Amino acid sequence: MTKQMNEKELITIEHIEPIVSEDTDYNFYFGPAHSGSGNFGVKLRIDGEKVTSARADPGYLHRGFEKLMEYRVPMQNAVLSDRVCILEALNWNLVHAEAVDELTGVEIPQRARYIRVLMAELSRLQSHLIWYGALSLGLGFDTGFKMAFGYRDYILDIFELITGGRVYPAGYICPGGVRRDLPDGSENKIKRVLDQTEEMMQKMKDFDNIVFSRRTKGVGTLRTEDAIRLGATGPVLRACGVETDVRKDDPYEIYDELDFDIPVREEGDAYARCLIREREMEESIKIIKQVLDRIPQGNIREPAKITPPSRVKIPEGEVYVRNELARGEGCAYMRSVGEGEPYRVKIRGPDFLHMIPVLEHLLKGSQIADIPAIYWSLNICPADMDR
Amino acid sequence: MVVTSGTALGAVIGTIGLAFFALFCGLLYKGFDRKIAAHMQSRIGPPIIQPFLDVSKFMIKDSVQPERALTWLYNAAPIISLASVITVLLYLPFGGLTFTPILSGYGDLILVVYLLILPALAMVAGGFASSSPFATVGAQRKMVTMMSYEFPLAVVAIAIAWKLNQLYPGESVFGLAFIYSHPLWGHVGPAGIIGMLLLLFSIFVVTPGQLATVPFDIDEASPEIAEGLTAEYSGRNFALFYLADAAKMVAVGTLTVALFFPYDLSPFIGISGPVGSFIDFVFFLLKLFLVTTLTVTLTRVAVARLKISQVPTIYWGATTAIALVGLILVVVPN
Amino acid sequence: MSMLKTIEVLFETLFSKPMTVKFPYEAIEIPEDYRGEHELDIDKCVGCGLCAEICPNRAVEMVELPEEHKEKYPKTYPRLDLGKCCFCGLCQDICPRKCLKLTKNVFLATPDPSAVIKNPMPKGPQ
Repeated sequence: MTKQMNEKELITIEHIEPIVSEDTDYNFYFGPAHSGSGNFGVKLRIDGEKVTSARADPGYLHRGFEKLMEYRVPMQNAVLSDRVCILEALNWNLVHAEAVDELTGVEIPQRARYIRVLMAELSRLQSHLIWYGALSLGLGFDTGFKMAFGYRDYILDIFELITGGRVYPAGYICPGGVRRDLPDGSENKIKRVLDQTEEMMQKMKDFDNIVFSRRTKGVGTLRTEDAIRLGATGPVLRACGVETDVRKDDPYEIYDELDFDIPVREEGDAYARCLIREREMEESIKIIKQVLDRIPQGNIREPAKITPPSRVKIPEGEVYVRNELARGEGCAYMRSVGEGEPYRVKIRGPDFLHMIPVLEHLLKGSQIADIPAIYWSLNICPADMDR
Repeated sequence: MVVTSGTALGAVIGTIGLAFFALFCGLLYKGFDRKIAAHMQSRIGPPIIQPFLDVSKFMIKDSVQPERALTWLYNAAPIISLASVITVLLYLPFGGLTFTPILSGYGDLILVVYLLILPALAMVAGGFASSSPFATVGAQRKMVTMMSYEFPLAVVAIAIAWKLNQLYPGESVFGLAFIYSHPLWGHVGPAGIIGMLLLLFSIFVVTPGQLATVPFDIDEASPEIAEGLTAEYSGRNFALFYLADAAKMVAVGTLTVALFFPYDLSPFIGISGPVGSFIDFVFFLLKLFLVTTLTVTLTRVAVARLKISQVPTIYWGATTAIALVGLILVVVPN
Repeated sequence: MSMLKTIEVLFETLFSKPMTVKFPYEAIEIPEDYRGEHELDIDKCVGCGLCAEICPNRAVEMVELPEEHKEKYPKTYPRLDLGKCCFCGLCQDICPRKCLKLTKNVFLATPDPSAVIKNPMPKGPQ
């Protein structure tokens, strides 16, 4: 059975790269060690400037998270969970913390829930700024890249103040609540950073000039049926006209008490995805302002002290949590048999489906010059695909 | 002032002096370009002498050669590129009329427009000789860009020369020294001024294409094809391409200044003699700086990169149309 | 036209203060509670070993001090491998005597591999 499967795989690979090559077709590795692709490889066959076939080549960033988590207690796993996708570390912290909290059944203090939502939305903001910078870099628009990362730095200053680290919050959102309380004066600093982010969003609108829109309009159009069939979620799906968001459909934390809109567009091309993400940034700022107004006093973690690993026990059970990350729908399945370490953790990132079926579908038939626009408009992160 | 085209020794000394000075200017202007672009993007940016440091670093490193490269062509391409740019400079009135161009009697505007193809062609040859798919794609794209921008450039050159022929029949209107000493702005009516502005706009669109900067730097679009043309070049070879690029910036800028802004400052402030010539020389460098900043720096910071399929459309379509309208407006009235 | 707006924004930033600073001549201040290098107050340490248990990367190992200090400090103390450490601060949070703290020192890059391991050492002149 295994031998037959291997032979079948061999035949499939040979089909993609024939030994007898035609004159004009050639292989083009938009590969892992490429300045334009992040940590992910795509094998393309090119004819002139047109892509005739695309095959995603995942696995470059596989680090074995699901296995690593089986040997560590939940508090240690919280530190690991930032690295599932470092571009939105606090959101993945939240997914993991919610999974453990549902298994242990502990009641999270209200203040901790508000702080969790605050940090998750800040993380969404900086993730969208990274997306804008990477898209500008891919399109050759140097100014957008430099400014986006410059303004993102102000948000990282807030993370440094609250969590103690700029990019790696080290499991700040942990099972039971959050690890530390907000320092004094952080509210004013957060409001100042929100003003600066609004400056950047205004610049994003000003930079939407003729060359930028010509390279993204009509490029990488995804039809609604294809989007649903191939499993797109998040902004990619919302750009095709489907109004869906886990924060509204299946609310977690305190999202059911907050007031925000969900941007939806009909066209399904790269430009629509860009506009949706810009609107999402506005909505995130709205949410953060509401949270800052309503945050109550109280505890920040239940239990207040960290239990030593040898005495930790997670009650038996299995749970599946869904969250809305910046890139789409991120979920975790956790099963415990009563020990301190989880028996099985399965992480479902939004990018597994965006990077393999959706990307291959969109790249086929496009031009080389459209590859960065399509690639970066999907806002993919190889880390949560490969885990 | 200094007699350069008279004696052979004078020509050699003049060439070497011009080459070093033009390279120095080119690298310095590249440094200004990076600094100004950085401040436009709200950062501090590298020091102005950074290109000099870069070139010294590249010069002391080894050149690694790809296994299947065509060795003689791969190594000759950077040398041809740099040598041809310096040759072009010998025909151009660098520094205004302070120094007569060394080869001034031996070639004119048409020759310069043709010679400016050579550095780009050498880069294309080097790209094809590198035997790497990135370099091949980059070389193909550079060929397409080259073929596209020649048309509007030729239209602009012909427009200027045609008008000069109308005003001064019988003179050698394509000679660059002649063009530099006869500015056109005062001799055309209001329709002609609009025509000249349209021709100036066309040159401003052609210049980023010639210098391969954004939005026309498709041949080395790093996020798509990892530096494209020069992907396989390193060390000394790459330093020569870098220097050729810097010198080409000076050459193309000088051509634009000669065609459109050939004014000298000294007659206005009434100083003549050696001090006047020095002031003219400095004024020329200032004009060159302004032209470079507008065409290279501002454009590079403000727009994104174009697709290769959009390049011929822009050059043969919009830019040529604008240049032709400019030509008609300049030439036809009286 | 949007191109003019872009150019206007660019000229505005050209003449205003840049976002970056010229490190190392100027630096942005690091706030308190930043998770940097560790500092052990060895007089308060009781050798409970909780920091070694909680570390996700097994970067903390409880070791005895060299012979000359064994009389005054007879227990085992945490030895940190900064190469394995991910600077999460769980060891600081779990320490019952609050003697292991993370300071603001971030300049830890070194060409010397032996400097990466921090042995517990008594403070002050010997």
